[in-house]
Amino acid sequence: MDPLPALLVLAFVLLVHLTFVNINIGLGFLSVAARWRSKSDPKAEELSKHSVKFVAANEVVSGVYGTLITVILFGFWTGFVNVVVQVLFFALLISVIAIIIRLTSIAAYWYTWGRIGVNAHLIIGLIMAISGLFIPAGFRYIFAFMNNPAGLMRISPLEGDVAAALSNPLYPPLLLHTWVGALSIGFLAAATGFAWASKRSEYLRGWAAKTALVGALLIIPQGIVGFWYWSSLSSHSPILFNALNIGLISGVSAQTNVSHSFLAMVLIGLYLLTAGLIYYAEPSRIRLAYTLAPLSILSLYFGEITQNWGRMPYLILQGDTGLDVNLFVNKLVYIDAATIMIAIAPIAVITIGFVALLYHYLVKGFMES
Amino acid sequence: MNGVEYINRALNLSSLGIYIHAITIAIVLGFSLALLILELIGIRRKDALLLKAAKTISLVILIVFVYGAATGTLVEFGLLQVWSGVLLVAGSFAFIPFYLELIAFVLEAATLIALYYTWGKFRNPWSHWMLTLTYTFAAFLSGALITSVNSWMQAPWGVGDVVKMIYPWAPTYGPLVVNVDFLISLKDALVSASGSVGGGVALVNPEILSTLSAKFGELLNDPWIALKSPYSNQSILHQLLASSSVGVFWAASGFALLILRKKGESEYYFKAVKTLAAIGAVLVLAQGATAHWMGAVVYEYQPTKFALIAGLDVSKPDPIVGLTMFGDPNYIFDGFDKLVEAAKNHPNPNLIIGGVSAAEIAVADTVAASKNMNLVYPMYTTKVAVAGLSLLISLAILSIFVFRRFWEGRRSLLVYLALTMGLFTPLMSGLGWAVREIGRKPWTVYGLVYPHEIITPLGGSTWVATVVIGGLVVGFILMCLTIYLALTRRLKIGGK
Repeated sequence: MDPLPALLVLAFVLLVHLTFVNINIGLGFLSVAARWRSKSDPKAEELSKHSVKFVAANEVVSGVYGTLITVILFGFWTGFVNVVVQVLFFALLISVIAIIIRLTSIAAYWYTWGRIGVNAHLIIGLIMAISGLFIPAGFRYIFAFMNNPAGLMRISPLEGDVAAALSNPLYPPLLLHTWVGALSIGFLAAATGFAWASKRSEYLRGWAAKTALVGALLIIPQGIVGFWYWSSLSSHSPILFNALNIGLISGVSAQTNVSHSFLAMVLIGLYLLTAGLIYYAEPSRIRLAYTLAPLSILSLYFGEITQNWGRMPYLILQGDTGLDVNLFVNKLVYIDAATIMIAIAPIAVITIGFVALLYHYLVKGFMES
Repeated sequence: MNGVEYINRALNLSSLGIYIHAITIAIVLGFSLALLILELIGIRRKDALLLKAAKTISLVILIVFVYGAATGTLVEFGLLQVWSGVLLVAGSFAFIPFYLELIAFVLEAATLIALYYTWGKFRNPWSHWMLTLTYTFAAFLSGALITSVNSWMQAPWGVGDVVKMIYPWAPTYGPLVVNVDFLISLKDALVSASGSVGGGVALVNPEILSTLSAKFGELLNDPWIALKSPYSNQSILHQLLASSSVGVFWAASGFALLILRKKGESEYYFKAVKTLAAIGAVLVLAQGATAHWMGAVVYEYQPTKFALIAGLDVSKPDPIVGLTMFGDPNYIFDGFDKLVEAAKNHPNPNLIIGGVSAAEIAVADTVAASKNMNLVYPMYTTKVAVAGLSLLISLAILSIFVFRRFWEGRRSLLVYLALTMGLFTPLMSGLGWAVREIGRKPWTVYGLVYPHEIITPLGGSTWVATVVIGGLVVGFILMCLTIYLALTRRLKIGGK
């Protein structure tokens, strides 16, 4: 099977999945923050409730795409999945447990609303929000592993050290980078939504400004953690480090150049920081708020492209060399590129309709309330 | 924990997980069909009560779908972690069914959300019904594609005479679209490495697969082969009818319980019970008719399973089956005595696989299969007995449209019949699925791959399975609670 269409299909489903997952992590915390705020400001309760409806809706989309990713991984990247399952067995367990807790706690948070005390309800909400952070805590091991395969002792016969895989030095900065980024994206997306809804509700203008501020300020720790991750790559994943620094650091060369997407991500981050602060200071500049959600998601895409395309032509990097992407693509059966891409077209069309309808309903309900 | 214990525990946990997931599948399929028909009749007759019942059913489907999709991800994830060797099937014979299933799954999700939130929003009600039709089609397509994968593992279509080379009693599994050298090399390596539990799965790694594909080419020449199998076609028909009848009778039972609890709106509830029970009865009768075809493909493609379900420890006639299949009540069916004898008189005595002679493998596996007789035969006969009773009850339910005078004033009888079928249909399907799965043993892919060759060798597999099953159980309880709250407390999903 040709690896390029297999990569493009994986990239498509992964980016759609990550979009909703990232928005959702931030929205979960926002809902809890609004619920806490409702102790002194009763109007905030409705906002908290609506936020959790968006969380539930996003969870449907990310859940459906999570299923797609699993199927595409074992269909297209059969050999890779086997390596990951064997070596990162316990890391993946973190995600499995977190998914169970997350789904359970979203339902519990929703159905206990008004039936238990506010403080008890806030505790359930916190469990819901924090469990959202632990789902990527397992899956990010895979990305760290692809950049620096800690725990992979040999590939044939396959042998791994599970404990060593859990102590991957790239994992802590990558996970923190993911967490802070997700919180920032979630708050910035909410800022755009609140700004739009504030046309009907003056009350929401304040929330739009505050969420924009939080989302923007999170760019600062994101930059610090990003620098930590960037510098860790220089010692543990030199190929990726070089790929994203071509033209930015003299004397650096790599087979793949992702410095443009890396630079774009950084510049968008700086814009979001500035725009968020300006909007907080002048909430009447509503058009500025409209740029926050799409650009924060665009920065997520650039970040993922930088990291995942920067490894090419390898899928797993091993110091100054790597394991070629061709090694992992499914060779048990031949499927031509046209068939692969044709099947993705209806999925993309249906998804757009699906998401539009879902958001139309939710936004309509939000506006009407 | 020794190897046998480890595999048995993983198998038991996986079975539990599949059964829990099967409940959601039955609801989604059965309720979808019920929704489609109720809405159709409701629109045609301008019957507001039936449309109300249809809307209630769509709410339940939505709740079940959300939980089903979430827990389905866990099942997939758990399946990969515990049985990582299944990747060999996923990456080859199951590739196209799974890939097409993605489209069906996304279409199913999108149209379900659409149909639920657009009740009463269209000027022409048939526009909404078209959404329901598209959704139902996607749900059934999804079920059919998943069943085709399980069916390939029951009867590995496309491997020609490869299984027959090892087991002389085996049939030919369709055209040869598999690279025999690749498959034999793989099987040879699996047998060689399977001394320890999970040893075989260590071979499913990129370098070995790349080496094999560089040497032999692709494993499979026709990626669509799993969808061309006659065993698969019959299984799809049988499974979809079975799952639908369970779901439809559960829906009928739900309304029947509300009547018994003497809730208001009894005319509405009774109308729903009557219509749903009639749909369910037709499905049970249809399933009865297709059962013969299912039995025929089991006889043809799974000789050991047929011997198990017919109780053929020794070859003997089965008058009813002989008459229906061959028009001869004295036809003698091959029992395990004949199958073992065929294995002993192996036509390829010099064939060695993984250092073991094919004859030895054939005899050992045929004997191992026969040991499930005490489990499979009673389950199958119980299933047949329940099926017989279900057919009679279904005819009684349908008589409501013929003997109208008899049924006047006997409404409660229909309520109890619907409730009885709400218990009988899952019992029948549950036993049927158990017979299907246990009857396939000792193989995971019939005649080709054993469970111990595909289990993940790390000791944590059972832990993962436990967590996944725990998640399914929690998800299932939450799903039931949500349905209860939504139906009884008038909670609305996603709305005020």
